[in-house]
Amino acid sequence: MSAVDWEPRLLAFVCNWAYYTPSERAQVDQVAENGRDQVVRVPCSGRVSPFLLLNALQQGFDAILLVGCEAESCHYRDGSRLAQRRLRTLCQFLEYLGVEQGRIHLYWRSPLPDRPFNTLAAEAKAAARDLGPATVLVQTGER
Amino acid sequence: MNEATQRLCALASELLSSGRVDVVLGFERGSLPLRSRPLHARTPTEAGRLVLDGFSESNLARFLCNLAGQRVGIVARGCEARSLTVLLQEHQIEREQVIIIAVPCVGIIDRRRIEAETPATVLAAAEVEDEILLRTHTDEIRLPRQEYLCRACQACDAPAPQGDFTLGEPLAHTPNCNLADGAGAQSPAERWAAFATETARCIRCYACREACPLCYCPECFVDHSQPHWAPGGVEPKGVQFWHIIRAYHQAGRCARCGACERACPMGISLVHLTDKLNHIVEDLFGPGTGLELDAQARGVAKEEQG
Repeated sequence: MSAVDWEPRLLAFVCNWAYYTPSERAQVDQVAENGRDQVVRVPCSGRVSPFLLLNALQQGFDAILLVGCEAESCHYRDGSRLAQRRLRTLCQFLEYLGVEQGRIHLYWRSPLPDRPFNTLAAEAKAAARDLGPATVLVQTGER
Repeated sequence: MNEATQRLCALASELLSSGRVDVVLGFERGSLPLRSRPLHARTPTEAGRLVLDGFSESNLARFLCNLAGQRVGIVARGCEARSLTVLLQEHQIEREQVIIIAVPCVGIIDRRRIEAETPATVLAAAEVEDEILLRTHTDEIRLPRQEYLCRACQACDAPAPQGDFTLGEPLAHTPNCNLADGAGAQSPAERWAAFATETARCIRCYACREACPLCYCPECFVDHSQPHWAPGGVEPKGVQFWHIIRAYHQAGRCARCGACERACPMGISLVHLTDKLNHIVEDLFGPGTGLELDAQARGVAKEEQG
């Protein structure tokens, strides 16, 4: 594949409650239909441990998107708050280690009408497209 | 034997003979030059073996979690006191369980650097005032003590703790380096290259984990087999995963004692990672590690505190 038609691979972690209505859910699933990108639905963004993000980077995903609810509207009261604390710290740390800014996107969604999922996914991929293929941490060879 | 050591031995003997503590944690002379080893003194006679010197590399707070139910007197330098504070905040030990013998610390000597720079085998070593006196087969060498301190000790900003007993005069020490700074000036790609090169030497012995006073989990994530997060062996995948998550688990907790670095048989130096994480957590959530016992537990972001 030449550099011109290189497309970033996206991995999205999506809280079930952030996109709850059937039409929103359908939109989330649609993103993964191209067969390259992947969407992982989680019961709450608090389920996303730093292990999962790090593992995704090692598997060679070029863009990682996490969509959770705003802290105040978390279905499980504290899950989103915990996720925000863990992952904000982790993202700053990974940036220090050399993972480019713009590889990992965290978005905390309001319960009011907010930006649709496909826009967020497109933005994450656009940012990764500018950065080029991920190199830092990537370990694709299975041992 | 210097005056501070004599006072320490006397105090430890008294604490043990009066039954106020079951064990005093300190250091005794090791069998090799440039090394002192941890001592669990349980009788006044054993307490006579205690020493205070710059060759004591371990962090004594490491042993506390294994001494549950016993009353422990602990010889605490600045880094040990900071570790103790974190252990108390995290409810790993009870305050009533420990008697803190605070010792103003003048820094731990970087043994590896001395061994690397001395052409002949060091047969004996001693600290005399501001100098390190080394004896080899052929001659005697004097080195300026201040220049041979560990990196973590050079960066230490709180070497003189408060305790139940305090030995010696309080010290004023100005840190002359910042652990995270050196790497901060590099570009992301350079930082990554430095991290990858440094960790490539790792043999996964987990000495860093065993030496760390704050790695007290009964089961470490790296030992989990389902899921197997960090594959064993020395391939970069598992090694990098291990070092990143090990540092991340110290976020905002690391006492910056540098025991991990000193314990590493391969000389891997990654204290700047946990130091950087301390700064990140401080920016996001508030004040420094292990300095105030009453400080609010971490986890409430600054903006939430209002």
